[in-house]
Amino acid sequence: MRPSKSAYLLLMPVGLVLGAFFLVPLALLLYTSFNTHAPGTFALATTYEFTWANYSRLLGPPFTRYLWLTFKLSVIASALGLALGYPLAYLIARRRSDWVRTALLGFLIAMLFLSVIVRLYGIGLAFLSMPALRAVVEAIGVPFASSTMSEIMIVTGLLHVTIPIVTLTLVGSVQNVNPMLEEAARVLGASRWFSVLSITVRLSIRGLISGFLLAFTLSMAAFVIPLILGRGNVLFVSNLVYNRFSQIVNYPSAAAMSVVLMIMGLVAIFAVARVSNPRWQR
Amino acid sequence: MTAPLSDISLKSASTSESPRMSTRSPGQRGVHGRSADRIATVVFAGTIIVTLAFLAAPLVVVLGMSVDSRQFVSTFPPPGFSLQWYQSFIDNPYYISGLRTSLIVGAAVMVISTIAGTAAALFLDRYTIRGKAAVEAFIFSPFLIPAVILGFGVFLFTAQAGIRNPYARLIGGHTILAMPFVVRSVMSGLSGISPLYREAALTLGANEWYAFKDVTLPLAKTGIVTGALFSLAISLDDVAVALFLSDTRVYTLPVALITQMRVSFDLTIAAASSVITLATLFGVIGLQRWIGLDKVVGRGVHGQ
Repeated sequence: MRPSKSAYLLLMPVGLVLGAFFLVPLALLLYTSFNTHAPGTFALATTYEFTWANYSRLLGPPFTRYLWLTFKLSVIASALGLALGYPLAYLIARRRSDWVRTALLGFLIAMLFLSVIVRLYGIGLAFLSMPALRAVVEAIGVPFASSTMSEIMIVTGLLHVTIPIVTLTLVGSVQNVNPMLEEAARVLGASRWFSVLSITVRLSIRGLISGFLLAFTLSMAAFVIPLILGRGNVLFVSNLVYNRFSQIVNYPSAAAMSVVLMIMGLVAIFAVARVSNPRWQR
Repeated sequence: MTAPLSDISLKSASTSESPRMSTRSPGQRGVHGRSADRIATVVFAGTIIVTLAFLAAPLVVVLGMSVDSRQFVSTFPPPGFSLQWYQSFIDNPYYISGLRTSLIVGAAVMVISTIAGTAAALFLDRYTIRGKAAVEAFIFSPFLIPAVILGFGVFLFTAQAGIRNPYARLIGGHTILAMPFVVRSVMSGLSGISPLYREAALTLGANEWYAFKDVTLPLAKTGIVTGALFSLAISLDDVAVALFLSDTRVYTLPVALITQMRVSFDLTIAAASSVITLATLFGVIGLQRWIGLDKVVGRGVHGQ
């Protein structure tokens, strides 16, 4: 149905809000990223001098070091999230509608809704108030104050975010694989675990890949988790941006980093879109 | 060249291949044997239990330590029960001010994003225009940008445009975050409604507004309510955007909590966190009662 002229009014509120608080900010960000930073200027610059310096400085340390950390920890958290989430998703998907299914789904959705601050605080507090945990960690040779420990804590925090999301996504995926196919494999003599792996997992591979990419995108963009659990010795790119905003007041540099982070995120998301698109499988 | 009849075996296997699994005894089945299955089941169950315990453990610690009777953070579980930390939270003007701001901003964001988002979803559901995919992509694009970047960008914009009121800045920033969720939620709610209902109402003499109010709105209720709740949750939970847009006098509760957390892991935060957890729990139970969690997730094509 073609819209009448007045029907376009329905789109106006969204358009206004997005235009003002989304498009203009992003444009300003891009614009600022090419400005030369005048040290000592607080808030906005009054002069403008085009330069590539903000970007070229990103090609070496320390940015590359933190970019690598962000990437590495995001990959680990996403892969682990998949490995831990798939069995849970399989259980929920194959379960008849009963209280177990409702309870598990409710738990996962509650975890999604639950403030990340509560979970973060819980993880930090757990490490502070349970000496047993510290003993375990130090037994494998990681001193508690080290940055490796911070990395472990960050991955723990990221897992709390990735596992619920990945699991809920995978439930949909596994549900769409016909359970009869597994039964058919078992009738032909395959064991239960082999039939699950070779049939259901194989057929839900698209869900697995897009789950991984979704978790990866979320992890790369993580801000609060590395802020608290990184304890200052591990930073994600998003934390670098915030530092350039609040501590080392250098808006052009922060803007340049934001643009780079944004582009990486978009690449990952387009990868998700390609994978989810049916035309991907010929 | 053709094999003599006597060489063709009627057994289930030829001489050079191994026989099919179903004809072997369990001990011969190797990876398909019963013991392999038992191990796999243990691994499966174990992983699930570990995962659930892992997800639940921090909540248990927070709830447990929030009623600690000691004066400082020590080992878990606490020896005595005390509500001192909850009292400390209520008595603390720093947190209460943050809570007040969060609720005001959250309510405003919920109202604005639900109205704007529902309108946009109605348009997208009913009409087709050239470039509709582009419009949809545009509306969902805030999903794609990390919140930090959105926060920084909105800060630059409001500073440049001279918008100094911190409430306006916070509401604007959070609405951007929440709106795509509302649109998607309402759209999926609307997609199940046949356009014939609205047309029937119009044929019977209702005008557009009544057709919407009495026919479309009740049918789309679950999508709209879910979207509204999502937008509230997003606004209440956001840290990244609020850190950029708050100032020394007006700040949200998450900002207050995070700032305090960077200094010390005070148990007052535990009390605040427990309150937030309980509120979330009630929210999800309410969602289950009203809408049914299965509808939120779906049952798939082969659901039982």
